[in-house]
Amino acid sequence: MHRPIEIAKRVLIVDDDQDICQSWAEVLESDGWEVQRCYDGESVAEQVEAFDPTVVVLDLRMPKRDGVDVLDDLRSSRPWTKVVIITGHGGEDDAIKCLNQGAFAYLRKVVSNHDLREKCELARQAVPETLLAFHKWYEALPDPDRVLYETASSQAVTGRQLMEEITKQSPIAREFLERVASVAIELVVKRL
Amino acid sequence: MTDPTVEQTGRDATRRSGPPVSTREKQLTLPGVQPTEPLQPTEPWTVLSTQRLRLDKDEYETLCRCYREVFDSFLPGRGSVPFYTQVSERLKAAGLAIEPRTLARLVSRAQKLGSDRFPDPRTRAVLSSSAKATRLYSPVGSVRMPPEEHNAFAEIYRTLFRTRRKKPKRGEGFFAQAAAKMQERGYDYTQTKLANYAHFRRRIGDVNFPRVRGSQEIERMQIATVERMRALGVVATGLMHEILQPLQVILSTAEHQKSEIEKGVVDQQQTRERLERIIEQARKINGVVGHVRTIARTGEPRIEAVNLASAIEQALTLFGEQLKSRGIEIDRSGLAHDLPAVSADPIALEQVFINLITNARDAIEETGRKSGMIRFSAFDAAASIVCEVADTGTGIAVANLQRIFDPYFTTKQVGKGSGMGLTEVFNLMIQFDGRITAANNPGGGATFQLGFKRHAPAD
Repeated sequence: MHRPIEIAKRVLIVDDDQDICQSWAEVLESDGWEVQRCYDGESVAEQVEAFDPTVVVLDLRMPKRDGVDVLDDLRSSRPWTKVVIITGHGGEDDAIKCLNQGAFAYLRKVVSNHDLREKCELARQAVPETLLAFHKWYEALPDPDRVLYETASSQAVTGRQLMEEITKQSPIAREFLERVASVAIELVVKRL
Repeated sequence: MTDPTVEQTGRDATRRSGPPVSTREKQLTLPGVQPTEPLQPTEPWTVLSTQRLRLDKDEYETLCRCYREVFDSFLPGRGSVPFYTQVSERLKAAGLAIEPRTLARLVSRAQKLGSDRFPDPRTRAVLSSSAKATRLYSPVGSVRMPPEEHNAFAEIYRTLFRTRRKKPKRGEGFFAQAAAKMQERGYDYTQTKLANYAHFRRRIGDVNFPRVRGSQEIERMQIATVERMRALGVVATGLMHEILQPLQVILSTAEHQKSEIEKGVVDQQQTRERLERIIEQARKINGVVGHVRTIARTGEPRIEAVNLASAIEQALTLFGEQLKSRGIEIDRSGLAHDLPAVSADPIALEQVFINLITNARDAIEETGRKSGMIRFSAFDAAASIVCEVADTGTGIAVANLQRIFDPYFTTKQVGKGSGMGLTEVFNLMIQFDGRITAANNPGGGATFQLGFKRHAPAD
């Protein structure tokens, strides 16, 4: 299958047990992943911003900040990043809650390396390419506050606003995406 | 893993294969016994039948009457004609022949069905008296105790029972102390009278007066065993978390190393590092397991010199994950480093701390906040070594402060607490010749203060 964008193999492992992070990092690195580790829930946001992972492996119970909260934040701020929950605590309820909140997978410790690799790979493949592409485009913008686009109600939209709308999947974002799609189709049809 | 709830419902389902029938309904469908009118719960003559004997209503009434007559004049004690023999004879005079043994069986069945027509002859002494509402009599009549004195005695008994010693000094026996306490309240009883009274109450099934001598050790051991098992339950939960993490590391590392070997990539240095990691994690598991083994140990308590700080650390090893996941921090800054050893049983002492930590953990969780703190401090207070365990939980309601060490007293939800945790702590502290008090912190939460005897090496 032709992929317009190669989705990077970048994973952030969040677990308060350093030995677990270390062993999983080794496993994933041998599979060609670029790995960063994070030992508490509080610094996840910061690290995600800097490292820009496509997949996050997340423990639920952590000091300072609960994994469920971290998951919530990730889903709202970076909907294209996939989250694999691996935890030693929690029961069915936790699993259902996490999956409802948009976690890609929920695994219970002890997890085999095969499962870990497989889930991470599946998660990477499930990254929504369009969203990721827009994110890339946004990152490359020289001035995110320049007005780029006017909506049907002639509301001026800057790059930053547009990105926010897209992550929130608001009506403005939908209108924009529709416009992009129609322009793309026109271009293709004209070339034909 | 089997789910106990599923198993339970499964078993229930097989047992209730037909429509649910209560015992009474089952009895009613016995062949040959047809009730002619709705059954009154207090007059179960219809079901008072054995295979050989069936009673009709009149016979049942005769039985009740004779029973009552004998009951009213019955005096339990040595040398008296057995109760059911007397009833049987009286029935025979009324034209109804029933063997004493059959009679006893019938009556016991009626009692089980909730009939109040057949009071237990052993309680005769209490119930038959004309002054039954206000005064309680002993079988020999040597002790009479009006209700307010009875209540005072019961209260004193309970307090004393909790703090009783194995081998009291002369003149400081249980009932001597009780008599002194009664005297303080202005009630004049000799210790023999009190002992008689307690004995009598016990005989009529009053649980407020448990046996003091003999049963003491057994009872204490039973509480201790139950408590130890409960502690093991607490421990098992913690244990799962403590074991899962190292197990995960071992599995991942070993699997990874294996796959690398299969691929033909072997880096000696890296292999060594990984093996060391595996060994270290396996040791961690071994430590936790060994620890549980010592808690599960049964045997004589042995009082020896124990280091407080290390007992606290040992107890905490089982809580690492549980506390971390609840955002509860441990503050050890108040633990003086050069504390002298205290005199205690090391394992029991650990159990004291396990109970207190569990308690603090639950109290903090109850506040609904996602963080908390348990602070340990210990200092040398000349006369004793004092250790304090303070938490930032909900604290203890003032009304409950008096009762928290009572058996089966709990404010936790049903199924969460047995009400025995702090009782056990209390009992253990007494075993160590120590003391324990509880108080609320000014800023919220509670503090438990433990006083230990300094260990004096035997020369």
